[in-house]
Amino acid sequence: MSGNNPIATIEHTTGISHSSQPAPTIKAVNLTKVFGDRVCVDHLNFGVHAGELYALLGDNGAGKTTTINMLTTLLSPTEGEFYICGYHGIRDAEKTKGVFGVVSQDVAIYQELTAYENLAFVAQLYGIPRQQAAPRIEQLLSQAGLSERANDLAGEFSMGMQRKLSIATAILHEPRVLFMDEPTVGLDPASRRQIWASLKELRAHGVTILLTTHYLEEAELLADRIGIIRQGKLVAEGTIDELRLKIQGIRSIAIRLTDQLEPADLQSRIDRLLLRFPTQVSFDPLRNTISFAQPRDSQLANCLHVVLGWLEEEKIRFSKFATSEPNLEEVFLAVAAGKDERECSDIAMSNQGEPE
Amino acid sequence: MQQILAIINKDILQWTRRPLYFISSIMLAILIIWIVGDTIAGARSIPFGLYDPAGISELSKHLTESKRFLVHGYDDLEQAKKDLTIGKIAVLANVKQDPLEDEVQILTEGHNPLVDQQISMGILSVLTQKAKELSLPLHSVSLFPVTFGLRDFVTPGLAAYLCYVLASMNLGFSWIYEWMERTYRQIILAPDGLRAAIVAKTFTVTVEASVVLWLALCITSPLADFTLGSNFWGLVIFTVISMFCFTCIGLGFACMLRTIRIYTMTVSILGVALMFVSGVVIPVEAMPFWEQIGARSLPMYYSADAFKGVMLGTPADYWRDALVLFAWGCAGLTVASILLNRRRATL
Repeated sequence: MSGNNPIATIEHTTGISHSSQPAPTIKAVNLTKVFGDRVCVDHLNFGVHAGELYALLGDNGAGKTTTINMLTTLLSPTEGEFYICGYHGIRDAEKTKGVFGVVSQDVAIYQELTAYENLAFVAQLYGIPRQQAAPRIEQLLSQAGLSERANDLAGEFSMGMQRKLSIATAILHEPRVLFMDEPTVGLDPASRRQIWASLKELRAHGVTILLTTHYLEEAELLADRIGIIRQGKLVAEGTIDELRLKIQGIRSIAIRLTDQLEPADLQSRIDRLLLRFPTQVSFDPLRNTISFAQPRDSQLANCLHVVLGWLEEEKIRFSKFATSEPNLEEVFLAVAAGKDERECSDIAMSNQGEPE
Repeated sequence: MQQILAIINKDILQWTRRPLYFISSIMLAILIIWIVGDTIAGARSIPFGLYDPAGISELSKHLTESKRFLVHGYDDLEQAKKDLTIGKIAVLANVKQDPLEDEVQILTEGHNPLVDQQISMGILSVLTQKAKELSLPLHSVSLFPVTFGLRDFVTPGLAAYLCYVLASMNLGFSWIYEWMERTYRQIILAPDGLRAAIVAKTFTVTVEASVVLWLALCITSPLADFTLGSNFWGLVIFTVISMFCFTCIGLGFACMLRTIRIYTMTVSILGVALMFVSGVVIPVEAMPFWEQIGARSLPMYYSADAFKGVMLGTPADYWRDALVLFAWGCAGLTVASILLNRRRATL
């Protein structure tokens, strides 16, 4: 860190008081990028704290990669600013580069060089003395499970191995911040799990990670906090639990009926339920399954109590009864698509398959 | 400096892993110097029939010395004409055997104007150079008599052209390849990485292409029979300056064009145009005025001028040539730096 006080700089620039909280390691302030007349990133504000893994989710073209490109100094913002470890990302671009590592979507390693040579090149690039670099390279190769193949050409490696080598090159200079732009795209499940393990280990060592991914399961598993970006804007942010609460309406209850009921009869029974329990109901005649969306303002236990009571009163027999927790995909789809509660319920209904 | 050395080390390693690329570069250079040079310098060993049984004209000796003709002597004129008809010889000189007539009739097939032109040029060359010995009322005089032939004269121009081809192609391919492979991202994300990449790549390509050209010239010189001159250091210095210039121009083009396909097409077509416009094939002085202006503003003209000076000893303004080449190089680097700074995200 430089001699100036980076925390004070952020406070002064943003006007945000951080008296009780330490300054975020990554901070974007009104970060904007405009290409022609298209606003790619629109006044993005977020912060990632030291040792935190922050996942940025968004569909294609949402502005995730543009955001990463700006934060890694590859792209100049049209407006706004950002700070990495207290350095002003635009004014101190070269200093900023020294504190972060980047794993991009593409495997940026030299195919004609061996795994060891690739890492040795990066070590020299960052000015790491040879005697310090050698044990570090050995350590990273070992962690990546590539020790045995250290002297093989990288071009002969599988995609998973190349990706692991790519991560090793990104963290060779022991960056305090790691940007990862969809690092597991195109990998098989086993390789993805290995990369997740590496990420968890890095986080355990205090590295601040900003991850973009399409794999929602990945974010759910790894991220401390998630930001959802849509059309360049951060539309939702929080922990997974916080995000789930925000769109509670997409949780649903599905019941498979034992007997085939007449549509008119079923409708009248449902109408009686709706008098006490206003919700969205749908019926799938193929599966003979009826689904209820949990209203945003009600507790699950209460909903279950009401629905079970209704089944008993109406003497409706059922073979299966299931509740579905919203997974991150549903959260993502609901928030990213800008759905309101009613539409969220529709999503829940459409995602509701066979009750288990 | 640390970054520059790292990239140079990496480039050398990659270079050693791709020996075929290096070998094929040398082969390409040899082919151009040899084949294109010989073609531009004119035909050699044209089968020449000479009917001069009494040896009155001494043409046999002088035509053979010129190396342009392979002389077949005939005692029977009819047989010689038959051979001309069937293409065994391309031209027949019928020397009148009456010493008082002093007349030579030249017969050709007449089918191919380009062959006739080569024959005319060859005979004219022999006649003007040997006119005094032949006692002919026809001779040429030069203000600065030179000891080199047309083949020697063509080679420096080709060396300048090869500087363009080797430097721009090598730079363009390696730069765009890394661009496409996204490997440069690793470099430019390091502190001062972009500047280091530009300097290192310019350096390695300049050195690699220079080595390729020197090797090609040394291998081809004894085979194609042309002189490299005696100014060794002049040749080294101007090869490096020319390579630097064209490397930087190639870098500028690579940053502008960005795909191998468009780059190859543009640089190849431009190369042929430059070769013709820069006095490599046709002297600049023999071009239309507007083309002369164009030629004198292009770097290959100055590169060719300097190569002619160091290889043949012809008058050349070395300082002017070096300055113009350096200025073009700097212009290429400036364009590349501006474009790369704008397009860092695409690297």
